Amino acid sequence: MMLILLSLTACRTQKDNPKVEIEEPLPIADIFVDRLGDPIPALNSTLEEAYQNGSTMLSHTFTQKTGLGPTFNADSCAGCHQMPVPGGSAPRYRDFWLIQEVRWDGAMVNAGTNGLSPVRNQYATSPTYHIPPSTDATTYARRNTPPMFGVGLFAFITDADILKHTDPEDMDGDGISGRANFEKGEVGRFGYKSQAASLESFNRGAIFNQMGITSDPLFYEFLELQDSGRQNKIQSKVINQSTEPLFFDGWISWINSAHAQVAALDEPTVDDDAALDPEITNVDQRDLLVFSTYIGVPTPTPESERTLSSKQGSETFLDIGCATCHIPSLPSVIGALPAYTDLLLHDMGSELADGITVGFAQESEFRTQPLWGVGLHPPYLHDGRADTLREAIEWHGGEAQHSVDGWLTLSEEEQIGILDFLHDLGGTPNAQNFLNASDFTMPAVGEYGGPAQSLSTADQALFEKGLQLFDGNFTENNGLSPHFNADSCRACHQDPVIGGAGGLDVNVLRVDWLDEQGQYLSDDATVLTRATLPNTLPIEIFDWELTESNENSDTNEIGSNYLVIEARQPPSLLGLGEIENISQTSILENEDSNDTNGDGISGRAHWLASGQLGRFGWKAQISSIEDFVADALLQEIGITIHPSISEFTVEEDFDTCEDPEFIEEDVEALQFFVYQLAPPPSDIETTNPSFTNAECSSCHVPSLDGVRLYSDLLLHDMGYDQTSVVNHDDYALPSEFRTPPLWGIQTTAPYMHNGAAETLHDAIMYHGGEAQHSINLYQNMSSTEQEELIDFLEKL
Amino acid sequence: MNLQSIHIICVLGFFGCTAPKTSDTAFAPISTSPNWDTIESLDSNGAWLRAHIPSDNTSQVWLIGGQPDVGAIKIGNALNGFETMPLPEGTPLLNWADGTSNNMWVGGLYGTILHWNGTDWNDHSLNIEEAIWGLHVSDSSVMAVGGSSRWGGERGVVFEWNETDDTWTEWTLPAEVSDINNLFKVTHDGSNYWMVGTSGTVLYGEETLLTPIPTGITQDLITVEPNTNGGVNIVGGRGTGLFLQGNDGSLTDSIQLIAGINGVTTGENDMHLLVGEMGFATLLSNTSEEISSVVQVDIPPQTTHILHSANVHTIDGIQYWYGVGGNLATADSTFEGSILSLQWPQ
Repeated sequence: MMLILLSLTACRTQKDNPKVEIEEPLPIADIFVDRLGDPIPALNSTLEEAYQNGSTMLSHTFTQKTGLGPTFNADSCAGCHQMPVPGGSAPRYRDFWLIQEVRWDGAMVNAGTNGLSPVRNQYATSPTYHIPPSTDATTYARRNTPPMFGVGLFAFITDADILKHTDPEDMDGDGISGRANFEKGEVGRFGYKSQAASLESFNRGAIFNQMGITSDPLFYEFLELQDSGRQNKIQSKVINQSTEPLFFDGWISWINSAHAQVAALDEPTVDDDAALDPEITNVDQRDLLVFSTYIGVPTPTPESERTLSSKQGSETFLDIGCATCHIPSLPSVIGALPAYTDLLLHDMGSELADGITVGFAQESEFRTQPLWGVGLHPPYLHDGRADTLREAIEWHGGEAQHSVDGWLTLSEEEQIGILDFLHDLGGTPNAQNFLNASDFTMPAVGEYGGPAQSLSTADQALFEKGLQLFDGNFTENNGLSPHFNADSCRACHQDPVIGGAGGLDVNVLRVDWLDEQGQYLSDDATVLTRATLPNTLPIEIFDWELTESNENSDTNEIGSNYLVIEARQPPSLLGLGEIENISQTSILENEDSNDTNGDGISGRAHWLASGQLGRFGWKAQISSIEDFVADALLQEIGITIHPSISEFTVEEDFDTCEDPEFIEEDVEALQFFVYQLAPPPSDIETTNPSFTNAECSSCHVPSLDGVRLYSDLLLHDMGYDQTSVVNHDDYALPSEFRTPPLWGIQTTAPYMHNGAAETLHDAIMYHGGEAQHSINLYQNMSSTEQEELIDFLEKL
Repeated sequence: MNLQSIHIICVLGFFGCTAPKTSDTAFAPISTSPNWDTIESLDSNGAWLRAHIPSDNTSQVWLIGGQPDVGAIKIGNALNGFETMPLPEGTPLLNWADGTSNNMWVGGLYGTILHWNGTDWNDHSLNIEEAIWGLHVSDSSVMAVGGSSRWGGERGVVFEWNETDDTWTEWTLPAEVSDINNLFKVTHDGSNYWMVGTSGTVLYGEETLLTPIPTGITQDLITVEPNTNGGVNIVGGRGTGLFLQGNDGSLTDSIQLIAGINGVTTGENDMHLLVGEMGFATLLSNTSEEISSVVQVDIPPQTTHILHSANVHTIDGIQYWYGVGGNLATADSTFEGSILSLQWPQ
């Protein structure tokens, strides 16, 4: 193999030489930015415009109607690339799984959800698309979302400049091999296993495998701007408006001459949903490519500001051999890229081996990860198993074992020197455990995300502490459960502000089976948690094995039993304090359990076993914010609090962290924050006649005790049958749901308990049961009246 | 020498990740740049997908294609152009032809199989939803392979025609590949049949006893053709192009190309033409002994159509190469097509 690669190197040196002459020493490219998410400096105006649109597309939320699914892990790129700004990385709750299996002839083949890639999808736009993993699956590997900062610039590195560091048979005897991965004959450089040679290919794969969004190869988009041929595609309408003598005039040329667009053909152009393909326009996809190509690199610490410890650390970094793979700089057509990577595959040993093979990369082989901006984005390593840089270093093995051994012999001072050096590579000043930026301005009283009322200085401080606790990430060390849906409260409550609702991609999935008599088979719903701690497999992989006998996935029939999968949307928490203040008497005034007034609307109060009146949650199953917070902490994150605070916690959970995992002071701050969150602001003071005429207000009571929440907080039969609802409430029936408040509804799409309704019209039509009469009235309205009703709802 | 477009091909280690062969074989440089001549750009009237040159009349090129509901055949060559050949009414899209000019078999959607005896068309269609993607005609038999298409069918099929009673007998696929949904081509190396299909499937055998050959390849293999070494050339891939060679039921070598490859043909001096996705076409020299060290010259694309078929014949001492394809396999089904040719050596 080595002979071949050497031949290839020699040949490609001539073939791939860029038009820009590279002189030594090559100056560092102008790529650093102070504000994360900004493009590298000196983009021309056309590229800047494309970049901004690409940035918008990064945060664009796809829906089922616009192509999301049929299966997915996220509904936007920024859903995973979210911290500390769009384009960044993600905490562990966004981890996903790769699944492969061994075929009869020994070939390792992908066994992911869409049948093409190894990516396992957590969500589906319909229960029937929930495809269980193959029972033949042999490999499950976790992936943590990497940041995008500077990654696209690797497109400007020639194949030859990567290949010249290869030493697959370790001919120099330094214990470091280094193999290139290839995609379609081109040298791979993107992805944890360098499996992609083309950024377009990488992007198209990600949006298809993670969101189910189809796209067309961009080749067409650019080729139509050319006279002919794959070669010399320099003259792009988009690019050549540059007045600067920059490389940008040639970037399309460069990428195309590396056959990147042809390389991107692998991804499918169609999928199995009703949305018209492609589900992203070529222009938007191109602009995403521009964004991901030019997103800037976190600025490293200026040399003049580096400490002696850091400077000594950089020397030690060299001394113990880290730089053999993490080579400080690679030349590129735009200048030197100090990424601290060779972009090659290295054997990282059995501890890190994940069993995944892709292209040339074997189970234990990984690309040397770039270190620029490394201080920015814990957790570290491909599967996020390391919470700190120290842990990440010590997890290295295989070819890096010699360096790790060297690290372990260093003094504490020397080790800190290396860590200081790594932090000086950029990112650390921007590192934060929160989604809210460090310069975040607290919203004013009554605004979205602000407190409901003026607070004393002490209470304001408590509110802000609560916000930080709500926004902060939990880790294994402070109680995160082995199985969890989120590693922060914010993960599921961030639309439109922290404390708000969640999207489809943070739904909680609950599973059970109905027997022939319509009885649930289990005592409690199984929650298919979306994430796990390192070295823990998802619950669903075991539970899905129960579906081995499933011979009719279209109808969810499993032998004589029926599989029920129900999604639950994280509701908005805005205004919960005001709901708690509503008197029990006011709620009970609207109760009419037996429909004695004959209006077809019953309304049952949810009395809990404790004798308290439920008012929170989709089933009104919780009576107080104290319990609401305790329940969410335990069920979604796995955090215990002191049992004296709430019965919705446990004295001990199943992790190794000492219980209670959240001290009382913090619980108090968190509860206070949730209690004080202002209701969504609204100027609407009177109810629209169409709303009244459709008799929506029978359940969506405009006001309780002067709180204009548009809910009676009672249970109503919504007509759903057991095949769509997983219900283990002792009081509420499967078909019964609490009337959800309508305030701020415009900002909380998708709607209904399962997020099945994309629009307010869809939400209205999704009603049934006691609301059927109102649906009929709505359908009989003129289109103008319907629009007025929708408009009214949007303004609530 | 145009160094911008000449490169030595990366050798892949397929077949259970065995080490690829290396070779010191010298290569013959290709001195000038080849370029396509566009013979015809077909509009919505037909996606001309593949071509066949009958062994008894090597100046003829049969172009086989059409639209989903309208099959079409043209016959001609690069020098004299092409003329449409009438087909029976109701013939759907045709995919492949094999045979001689007076004994030509063509296959298409919905199990369509037609036979041209030099005078008339006779219908030998199978009553199946699957498409017939490949045919192999010999003196003693006709083999048809196929599978699913966007218009129907779901399983890979193999049928053999019995001339005596004019019936088709279906062969059972080996258990290892019984769930594949497509076999794309079949050929014969003089001793045994070779068949290729989805997910790296290669079948080898005779008398209904097919054996799956382990490939370690997970991509589709599209075409198998006899080569000059008594073995076969196999091409395929989606996005990543694959060119393999096989002999005596074993795969011997492989290379990777930058676009999926659908067609391969061999001309004089063992020069190969490979064509595929996005109008990709490349000439490979000196592949007779080893394909691990070859020279590749890309032919600048004249179309973004998927080229489905590569062919070559010699007229008046000049070698004409063909790349034929259309856009049928893309999401944009406007059924356009391209017929490209190239004189080489010039």
